[in-house]
Amino acid sequence: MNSVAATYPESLEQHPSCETPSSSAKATALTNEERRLIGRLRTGDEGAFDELVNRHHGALVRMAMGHVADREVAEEVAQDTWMAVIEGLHRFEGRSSLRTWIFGILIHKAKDRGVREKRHTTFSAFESCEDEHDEAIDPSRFRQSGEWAGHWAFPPQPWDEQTPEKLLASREAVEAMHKAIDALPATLKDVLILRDIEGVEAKEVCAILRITETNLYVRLHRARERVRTAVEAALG
Amino acid sequence: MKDHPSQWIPSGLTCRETAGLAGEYLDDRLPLLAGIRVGLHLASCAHCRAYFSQIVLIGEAARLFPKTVPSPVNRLRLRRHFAAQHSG
Ligand SMILES: [Zn+2]
Repeated sequence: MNSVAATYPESLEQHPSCETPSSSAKATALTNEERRLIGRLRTGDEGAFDELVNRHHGALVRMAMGHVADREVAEEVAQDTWMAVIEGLHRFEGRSSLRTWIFGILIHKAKDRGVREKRHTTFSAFESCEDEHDEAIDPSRFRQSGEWAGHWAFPPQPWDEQTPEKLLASREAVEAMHKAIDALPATLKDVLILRDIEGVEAKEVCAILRITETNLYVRLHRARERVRTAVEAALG
Repeated sequence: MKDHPSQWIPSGLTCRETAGLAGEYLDDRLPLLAGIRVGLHLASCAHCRAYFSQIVLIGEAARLFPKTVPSPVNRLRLRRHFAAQHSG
């Protein structure tokens, strides 16, 4: 059942649209930690596989939700991805990082499932075009004219929650964050999940999503601003 | 207290432009001069400093979201499939 994704290509980092030099990414595709992990996985170490699943499962489900109808289907897509990872592991050559390969499989499967669910893919293509030109921050928050045009008219008020732990202790803030992230279109959700939730380096996010670095930061800015605005509103 | 840009070396950037460069600046991906200009603007603008710190804070909080794992049934299926691949 996983025939397509089990043979999913690893060479994502070679995508020509990625502005960052791919040669260095290629040479260091696997960190020592990943090499050790792959070694353990190949010897059938179940603990290593559990670790891998625990590390990425949440982000996989969340990303899948950008492409399919509901959480249940997203869980299925993530499960299918893990099955494909298990089957493809012995063929994985390390030309991309393990994580890039896993998320590549997930995206492939989620998009495929999304299309089959008749959530037409061209919609997200339009969405991403629109992304590049829209303002990330509401223009009315800046002065429109005069000497200080382009400076804040309604600046962000400093938050009392100055540590992430304090912010997470605020139920309103957390709810607002989750709601805002879930409401993001797939193109924005993918970058936010990978960069902020998973903590993937910018270059690797470009490789996984096959986008340019410029594109990455445009999307990231829009996604972060939507979440920030939601938290700002929740904190009053 | 309100910062006044005239007390500082002007960065040549508006708040709007500065905020738009938050992602690249925080990842240290801006060309040297652009990075210096953003740094200069931040030094003189408390509002943009607040904006940047909120972006950082949200990213850090997102990284601390509780991890979700597969359901026990799905986990069992994965373990079995994994073991089956290594039993031969
Ligand atoms: Zn400013």
